[in-house]
Formats: sequence, C-alpha cells, structure tokens
Amino acid sequence: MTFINYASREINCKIVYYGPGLGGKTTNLNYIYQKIHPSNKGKMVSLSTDTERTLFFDFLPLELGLINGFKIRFHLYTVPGQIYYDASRRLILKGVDGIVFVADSQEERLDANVESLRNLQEHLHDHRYDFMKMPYILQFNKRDLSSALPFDTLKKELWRKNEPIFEAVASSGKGVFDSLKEVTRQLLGALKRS
Amino acid sequence: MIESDDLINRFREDLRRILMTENQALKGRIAAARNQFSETMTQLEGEVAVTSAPFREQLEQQILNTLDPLISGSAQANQQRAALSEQITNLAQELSRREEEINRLRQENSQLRAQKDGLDGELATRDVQIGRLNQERDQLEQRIAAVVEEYAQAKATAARTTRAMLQRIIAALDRIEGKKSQVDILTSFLEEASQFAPRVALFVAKGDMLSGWKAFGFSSAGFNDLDVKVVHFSVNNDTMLADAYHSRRAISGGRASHRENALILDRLGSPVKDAFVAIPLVLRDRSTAVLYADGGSEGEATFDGEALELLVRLVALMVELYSFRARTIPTHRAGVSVAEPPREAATTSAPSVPSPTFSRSGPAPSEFIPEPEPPRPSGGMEGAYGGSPVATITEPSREASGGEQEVKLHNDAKRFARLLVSEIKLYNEQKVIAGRRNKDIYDRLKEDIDRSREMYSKRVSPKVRERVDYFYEELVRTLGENDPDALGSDCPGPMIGSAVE
Repeated sequence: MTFINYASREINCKIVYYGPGLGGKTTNLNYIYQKIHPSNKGKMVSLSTDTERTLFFDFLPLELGLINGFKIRFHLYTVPGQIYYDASRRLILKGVDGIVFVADSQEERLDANVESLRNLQEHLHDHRYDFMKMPYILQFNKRDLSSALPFDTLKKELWRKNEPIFEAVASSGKGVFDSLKEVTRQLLGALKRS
Repeated sequence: MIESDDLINRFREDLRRILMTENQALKGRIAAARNQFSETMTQLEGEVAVTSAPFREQLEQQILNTLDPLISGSAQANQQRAALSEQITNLAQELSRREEEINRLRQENSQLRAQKDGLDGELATRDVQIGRLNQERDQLEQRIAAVVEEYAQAKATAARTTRAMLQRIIAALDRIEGKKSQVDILTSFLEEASQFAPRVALFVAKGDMLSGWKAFGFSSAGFNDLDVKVVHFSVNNDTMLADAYHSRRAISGGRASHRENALILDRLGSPVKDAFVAIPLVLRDRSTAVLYADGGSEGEATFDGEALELLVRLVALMVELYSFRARTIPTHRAGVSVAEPPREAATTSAPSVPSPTFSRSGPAPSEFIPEPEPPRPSGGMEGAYGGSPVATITEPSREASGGEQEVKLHNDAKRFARLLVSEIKLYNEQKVIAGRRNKDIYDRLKEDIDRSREMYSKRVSPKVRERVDYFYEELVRTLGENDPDALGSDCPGPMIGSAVE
C-alpha cells in the first residue's frame, strides 16, 4: 500500500483508474496531465498499441508539495480495458492505494462495466485487499452521449459500497478533477488513520 | 802628344769624378724618391685599407639586405610550394577517389538503368495484366452482382422453404402431441415423417439388433410396410443405421458410404437416388431406435433430412416428457386415462425398447422412462448434411436442464461470450468489416479471438462448454453477421463434447 519513506520524508501513493475498454481511463489521465503545472508533474508514460489503446498501463507522477514536512507524490495508473489483458490488470493493481472506476455510460457497454467491476473485485480479493475499505470512487463517463443510460440505471448496476459517484465527460474535462480530488481526499484520510 | 793624352786622361778623370759625384747624387735622389714613393705607397695602402673596410661592410650589408628578402622569400615560397605540393597531392588523391566514386556511381547508374529498363518492361507487362485483370474484375463484378441477385432470391426462397418446413413440423407436432400413448405418438410420428421422405422406417434397438417396427412407403418396392417387422440388422455391422445408433448423430450417405450398407439396401430395396439418412431417437443418452428415410423408389426421389432430424429430436423430447409426466404425475396420467393396455413396465433405469417381435396390432414399444438427469450431451448437427458446422437450431435440451443453477451457468456463459466478442468488434471495427467482406475474419483477428477464447475457457464451466459453444456462436452472430463462412476456413469450429479440453 502507501509507501512512506521516513528518511527522505516522502509519501508515495498509487491511484489506479480501472474500468472497461474504451471507457475513458486514459482520457482522464491525459486531461490531468495537460492541466497540471509542469513543476508538479513528471513525464507521462503510455504503453499503448498502434491504435492508441492502452497496452499495459499509463503512468503519471504528480507532486503535491509538502504536507507535515513530507513530500507527497501520487502515481496515477490506468489499466488495459480489454478483457483478455487480465494478467496485466492484476499486476498493476498490486500496491494500489485508491481506485477510480471509470464506467462507460453507453447502454451497449453496461455488461462490460459489470464484468470489469466484477473483475476488479476479484483481483482485489486475490491480492487480499478489502474492497470495502479501499479508497474508491465511481465515475460515470461519457455523459454527453445520446446512448448514455440514465444515472439511476447505472447506479443500480454498479454502485457497490455507498461510494461517491461523479458524472463526467473526460474528453472535455468535466468531472475529471472532481473524481481525482475525491479519491485523493479519501486516500489521505486513510493515510491519517494509518 | 803626351800632354794631350794626359789632358784627356785628366779630363776623363775629372769627368769620371764628376760623373761619379753626379751619379752619387742621382743615386741619393733616386733612393730618396724611392723611399718617398714607398712611404707614399704605404700611406696610400693604409688609406686604402682604412677606407675599404666600412665600404665592404656596407656593401655586404647592402647585399645582405638585398638577399634577405630574397632568402626569406625563398623560404616562404618553399613552404608555400611544399604546402601547395601537399595540397596538390591531397587533391590528386581526392580526385582519384572522386573518380573512383564517379566510376562506381556510373556503374551503379548503368545497373540501375538496366534495372529500370527491366522494371519499365515489367511495368508495361503489369499494365497489360492490370488492364486484363480490370476487364476480368469487371466481368467478375457483373457475375458477382448476378450471383448476389440469385443468392438473394435463393435466400428468400430458402427462407420461405424453411418457414414452410417449420410450419409443417409444427403442424405435425400438434398432431403428434394429441396422442395419448407412446405407441400412438411413435406411430403418428412415423406418419408425419413420411411427409418429409417417401419411404421411412423405424428400427428399434434391442440388444445388438436394430429391429423393424413400422414403415411407410415401401409397398411399391417389392417390400411392403409389413415386411419391416421381420427385418433385423446387427448394430455390429458397418452400416449407416449402426453408425447412427452408436454415434447418436444423424448420418447421411449412400450405398458406398459404409462398407455394409448393401445389407440394408438389398433388403429394403434401393432408392432411385443413392442417398438416404439414418437418424437416432435418443432418450436419456441412449439410442433407442433409428429412423431410416430415403427418397423412394420412384419419382423425384428427394427427402428433407434436416426436417426429419428436427422432428426426431422433438419427438424424443415429447416421449421423454410423456414418460416423465407419467412417472411424476400419476393422478394426472390416470386422469387423462390413456386407455392403453399396460405397457411393459420399465423397471430399470435404462430406457427399454419394444420387442422386435411384436405383432402388427400387438405390443407397442415399451415405455421410455428417462430420468430428468443427466443432461444429454449435444448430439450436434454439425456436418450431418455437409452444410454449416454451426448448430443453428437451438435445441432446448442442449441448455439448462438441471435447475436454476445450471440455467444461471448457461446465461453467464452466454453473456460472457457476448461481451468478449462484442469487445473484439469494438476494438477492430474496420478489420471485422474487411474480414467479413473477404471471409477471413479469423485470419485478421486471430490473436484477439484466440486470447478471448482462452478467457472464455478459463471462465466458463466445462459442464456448459461441453454442451454448447456460446463463444463460437457469438463469433458467427456478431462478427460474421450469422454467416459462419465469414470467419474463414482457418477458424476452428465450435468446441463441444470431447473437443472442450
């Protein structure tokens, strides 16, 4: 989980953007990368296919300055969405501190959302992480599409543990930072408690 | 005279003295002059010596001054010359290199020209070929358009034919369903089967024999329907009937398709067209009877194997259901009062079959009393008529028959297969379209399909996979738009039964 280096007074946190393929995880990260001041971010690493689909992960380091004398550094990751990249997702989830589940609001992707969420819970369980205690938010992405399901329908299918839900249009940035802030808030709260 | 001599002598003497004195004086003057001359000369020489040294130095200096630039100019010139010489040498070397390079380039150029000429020639040939191919393509396009038109018409006709066939089967089932006993059901079934084939005969299994029970349409072939009751074929012979019995699959073929088919055809009489079909009636995993059908000994000699197989499968279900109801709802059974004489009691768990020796009006096939479990492995229709390997008919029995849990397993498998395949399509829209057009979807998407298949196999219970391959069905439905050929010849077919592991 969270890596605290007392010698160098650094805290490193890992946030993973999870969700079905083509749901907007990388778009979330790209938007964050564009908007963050260069002094606060590292180089974004994307391992993608020739069609720009995430092959292994996207990685974006963020520096959030000093808190109680500790330098806080967030590492944002995405996972490949295609179902058969299961082993990669499992690997990337190792050591996760917080999760943003990016659901695709389109009706035809409802089953994919459900499957991805099931897959997430399965991997967390395998890693012996408690999903119910994990900092976690649910993001309904692509709310601008006409084929988007109603909020309540998605909530009924995907809401698991009273987690906050954010409606987003990641391509325009709507809801992207709200999601990040909330998962960060939860994560720091968990850090304080630990 | 003495005096004169004296005088002369004296004079001479005097003259000699004077001359001597004079000579002496002259000598003195000469010596003095000589001394003076010598002194003068010495002086002059000294003067000359004094005056010539600076002159010489000056001269030397002037010479040197004149030579210096000449000497130093010469050294610079030498250096320049040496440098120039070196430059010239270098330039000569460079020139030599350049010349070599130019020669090499010239050679390459000539080679390239030769190649270009060759390619130009080839290009011209290709142009001619392309022209020809374009013509052929145009012709092919016209032919394809004609074939597509023909196909559309054939498809419409086939759809109408299929609809008509299904309507006939449904009507047949309605009539069979009204029967109150298994004998009536089977008799009615055979009557209905004769709609789809001019000659049909049902052989029931007993021990190692398939024995004739009832037949329709054989009266004109020197072998009438009643004769079938005394016909027995061994299940150990290499015949289509035995093959259908053992494999529990519909088998189609002709006289030569099995080594001992002649045993059947010689006994029943050969149909006009050398083609017939054997379809097993499978109850609780066992073949209990085999339907024989052919195109008859006269006329057009055609029969509808697919319709017959569907009818047989549905009748098998009907018989099972009848037996199940009879066992589980005795009051109901009593209520409907089949009013049939008691059948041979089925006392064992295996389905029994009617005796091949009963008389025409005698005992009917004994009751088949299948238990609801275990589920029947998919008999499959793949390849039975040389058509598509896909079981496009969704038999109710292939899916859940083991309660809610099994229904859930099947539904989950279907959903997961749909998800996997829809994702392949979502990520590869263009490849799917191109693959559908060229009928090579599998070749284009092999990696995605194979990896998804692997996920499907990991996730879905073997219990489900050994009966139905939902993944393959989704490939056909979603990627091939219901055309299995669109997947291409390299695509593995459905994996069911023994192919699962």
